[in-house]
Amino acid sequence: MPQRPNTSNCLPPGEHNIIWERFKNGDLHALEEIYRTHVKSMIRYGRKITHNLDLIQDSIQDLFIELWKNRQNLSDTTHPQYYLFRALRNKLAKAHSRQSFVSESELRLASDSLQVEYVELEIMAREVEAQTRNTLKHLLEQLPLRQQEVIHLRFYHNFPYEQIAELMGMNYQSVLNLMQRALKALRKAYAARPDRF
Amino acid sequence: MHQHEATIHTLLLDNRFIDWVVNPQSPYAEYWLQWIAADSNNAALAEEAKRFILEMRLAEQEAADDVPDDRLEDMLLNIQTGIAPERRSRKKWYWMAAALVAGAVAIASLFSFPELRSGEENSKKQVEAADVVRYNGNKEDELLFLPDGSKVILSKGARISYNLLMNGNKREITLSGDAFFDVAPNPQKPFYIYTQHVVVKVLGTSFRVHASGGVESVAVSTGKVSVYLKGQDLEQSAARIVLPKQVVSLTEDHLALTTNEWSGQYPAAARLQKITSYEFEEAPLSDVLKTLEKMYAIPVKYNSETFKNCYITISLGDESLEEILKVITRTVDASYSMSSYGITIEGKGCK
Repeated sequence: MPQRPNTSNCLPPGEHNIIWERFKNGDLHALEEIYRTHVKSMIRYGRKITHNLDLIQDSIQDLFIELWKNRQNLSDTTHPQYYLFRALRNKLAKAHSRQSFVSESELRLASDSLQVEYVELEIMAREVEAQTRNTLKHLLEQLPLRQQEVIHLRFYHNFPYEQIAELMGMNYQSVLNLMQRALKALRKAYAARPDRF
Repeated sequence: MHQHEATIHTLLLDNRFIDWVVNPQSPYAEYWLQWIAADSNNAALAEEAKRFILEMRLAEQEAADDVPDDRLEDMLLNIQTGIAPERRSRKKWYWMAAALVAGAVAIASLFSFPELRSGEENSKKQVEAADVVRYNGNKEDELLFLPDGSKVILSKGARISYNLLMNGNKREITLSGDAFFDVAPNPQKPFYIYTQHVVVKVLGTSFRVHASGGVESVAVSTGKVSVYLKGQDLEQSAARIVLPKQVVSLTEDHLALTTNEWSGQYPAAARLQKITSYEFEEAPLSDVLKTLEKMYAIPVKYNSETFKNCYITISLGDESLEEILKVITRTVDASYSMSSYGITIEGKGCK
């Protein structure tokens, strides 16, 4: 008989805990399993924070090495994905501010408010030529990164807004505002798209 | 903002609503079903908000330009090396590669091996998998499976070759002879077929390509494909779009393409409807892997002693090779890795 008949794509939550526990106890297989389970979604998430793919890959490598070295001091978590996302976000934010010599709050301002109108115009112009699904893909890509990040976490990973606020280091209301702005742009362009499908 | 749109926004900002849409086990299901039943407008509102979320998720899915698997493997190797700098992980890697070569000798005539690379600067480079050549020397058509989940019916005497794992950012195949393709959709990784004179580009569809004796034609059953003359810039608009029930042929001087009507009948297409997968129920893992090796012409390396008590129920053929490997390794609690020499499965076996 197979040891584990579970062939579904996601492990039940309890199982993650065991793996995390094994990881903390120095099990190399657990490290590999956690890596394989999460690396793709970590890269995807990283792309909502920076366009620098090399930086994302390097940060993920460093992150796992550091996690391993500090494994005895790791806190317990029922949600390793959240833990990993937060660690990655911190790393990228740090690297980013080092590179650009701009503080994170300034980056936030720059990427959020200044581009909004420009982006909406861009969306309207672009969607005329875009086709079917590409339309939505383009719409998403045209949003400022931080808006993409909220959309990604909320719609794709089903993170509640409270958790997103904690992850992004913002207060709850600011996250809702950010989401509202993203939705406004997306819904407007979505309703006006030429090819409904 | 109109009331209608305002309500949609409210729904999209509600954790419970999104959870209900994306989580099959959502505790809020009953709440939203009651809400929908409460007012005739609510059903339409919920439907529209729901569709918006699902389409956004699809767009996210398609926009994801995933990092190639061997890059992910390289990263894992770097992590493992970083954890234990004094360990002999590099040596082990080469030993594994050598062992795989030995295991692959039996079918060596099918492969042209890339040269073994040495030197440290290469350890970071993406390894290009070897090309595999598959030739139909039988009297009858032969059904082949490709690692991306596509299927090919190869006529007798026809030959295709491709990168063993199909793990580049394009899926590329060289063809001589007559073949019918059923291409697995993947807009992120377009599928190209090269014949002597033309290039066929496709995102997911079924069609027949004929390329032998100077005669080249492409006939389409479903979907649509683009055909280019070789040497043309693929992004130029000079492509010939071929629609269902059309056939595009190369003129005798090999300089141009002509389009004609076609019956749309191709016996191979009907055959593809019938046998498209191999079913296993509580079968020994070794049987499943043996079939897998044959289907994809790819060597699979594992310790048969360790896994001798593993039994598995699975259907092979309708998903990509990677999906299949994920299901198998998850079922028997193992892990797999791919290299230019094939697949390695490792684990502790089953009780």
